[in-house]
Amino acid sequence: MKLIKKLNPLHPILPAICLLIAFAWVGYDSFFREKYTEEEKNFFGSAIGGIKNLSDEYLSDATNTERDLDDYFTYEYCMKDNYEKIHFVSSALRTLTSRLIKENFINTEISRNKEISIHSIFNSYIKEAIQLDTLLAKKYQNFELENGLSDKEINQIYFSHDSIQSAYHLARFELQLSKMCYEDIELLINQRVKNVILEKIKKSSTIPYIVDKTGEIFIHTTYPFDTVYTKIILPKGLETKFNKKAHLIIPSSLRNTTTKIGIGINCSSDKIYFYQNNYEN
Amino acid sequence: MKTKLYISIFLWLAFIILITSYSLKNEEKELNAISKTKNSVLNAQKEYYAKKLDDAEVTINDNGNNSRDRKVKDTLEMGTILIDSLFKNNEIEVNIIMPYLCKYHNSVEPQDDTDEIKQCLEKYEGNSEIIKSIDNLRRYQYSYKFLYEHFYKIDWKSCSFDRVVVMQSSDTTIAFDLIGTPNYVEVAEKTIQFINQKDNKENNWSIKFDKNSTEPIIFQINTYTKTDTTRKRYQIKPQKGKKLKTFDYEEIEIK
Repeated sequence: MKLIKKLNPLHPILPAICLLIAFAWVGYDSFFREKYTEEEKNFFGSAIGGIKNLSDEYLSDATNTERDLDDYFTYEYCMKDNYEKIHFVSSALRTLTSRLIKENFINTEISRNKEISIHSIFNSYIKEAIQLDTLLAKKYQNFELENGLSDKEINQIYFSHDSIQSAYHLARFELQLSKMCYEDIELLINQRVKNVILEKIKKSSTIPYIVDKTGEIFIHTTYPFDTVYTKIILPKGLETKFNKKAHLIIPSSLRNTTTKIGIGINCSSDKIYFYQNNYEN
Repeated sequence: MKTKLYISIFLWLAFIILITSYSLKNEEKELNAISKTKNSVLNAQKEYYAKKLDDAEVTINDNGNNSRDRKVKDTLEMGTILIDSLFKNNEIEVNIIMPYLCKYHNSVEPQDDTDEIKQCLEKYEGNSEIIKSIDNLRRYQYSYKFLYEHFYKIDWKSCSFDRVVVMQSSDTTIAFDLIGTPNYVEVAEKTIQFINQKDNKENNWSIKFDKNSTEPIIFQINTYTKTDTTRKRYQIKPQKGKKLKTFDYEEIEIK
């Protein structure tokens, strides 16, 4: 009777027992209980695989983008240094990203007791990137990871749950790093090569030419010379002159079919073109 | 007696607060975090494949609109629209998407990857809200992966020869010419046409005139960019028994 009396909901013993059980459940649920079945774990694993695939694709495209960069006008517009710098920076960024992923995202054990320092991973990348190119230094001037959340807050939001959930979030940060590397290489290729060439060839002209032998008229597009670095080097001592289109004016003395004209482009690596006039049609 | 009642009420309250805050808030927090990660992955995914479609377009333009490549690109585009619409309605299911993916896969290179596709597109039928929330994106990502695997079939690699040459650009000048242009350069479309005689041409970049005629020949070059069209007109005055030189023409005004 005494026990029944004590189990009366208005007696403190019953809520105290319930509270104790609830605390024990919370502790068990948080630290020991397997939250997902094997099948559910597979779905989660597959979702993580999807993110990692995308991350690999970004990283592999970072390599392809740089490798497939056609070296147009390498010498003609003195682009050799730009191409070499792109290859150097791109290789450095890819190596750095692969190392950071290997060290921080692959086989990383996630536990509630150990804080994952996401900021330090991204800071390591940015620190090296800004030393490699001033454009990257400018880009990362006001970089804010996860809207300015601190490591503690990031860990609380993303890594304080079940370990497989944390792995899902961690894969996303890996993807973010790969994407950053890809976008940085793309930015440098655009700014250091593509835009420079586009600016130079903007003044192209379309020119018709007649082939009397066949009675045909064709069109072709011509591109200007770099007027600073291009010089007539053969025959020696001739003055180099350009017209408004930055086409090289051939002095009257050279307008015949026998003289070979040597055109030198004086960049870090010199390039020489030889041109034989063909006035007979 | 009253004290015991108050303690009891206090303990019950503490119990209710603990249970509700743990079970509700915890799941809400987890779902919020999952949703943030999902959106971040989704954006990265969309950006990645939008770029792939752009690249495919550039490749096709560079290669002269090859009909096989155009077909592959059109299939990619249609597949992208299909997957996006199914994703929005949470309908990416094996039975809907499988016929499309398999047909596409096997049309290029016969291979039996049906089982792999089926496995990756299998829908989660359980109760976990967390897994439900990642599952649609997971199947969306895999659908894309399978669809785009054959993108590389139309990937074009440039040849490595000297593409820049020097050539005559007028009677008195020389300039650079380019054999092909880099794929990032927008090449304006150009056409050449006769003005005072009937066109009898096979392509847009050359015209053929009557060599025996001494009548003046007027022709026009049209340059079309995305924003502008420019026209330049030229005149040739052939003379009997005299050969025409490369630049034996003069620009004339368009009236």
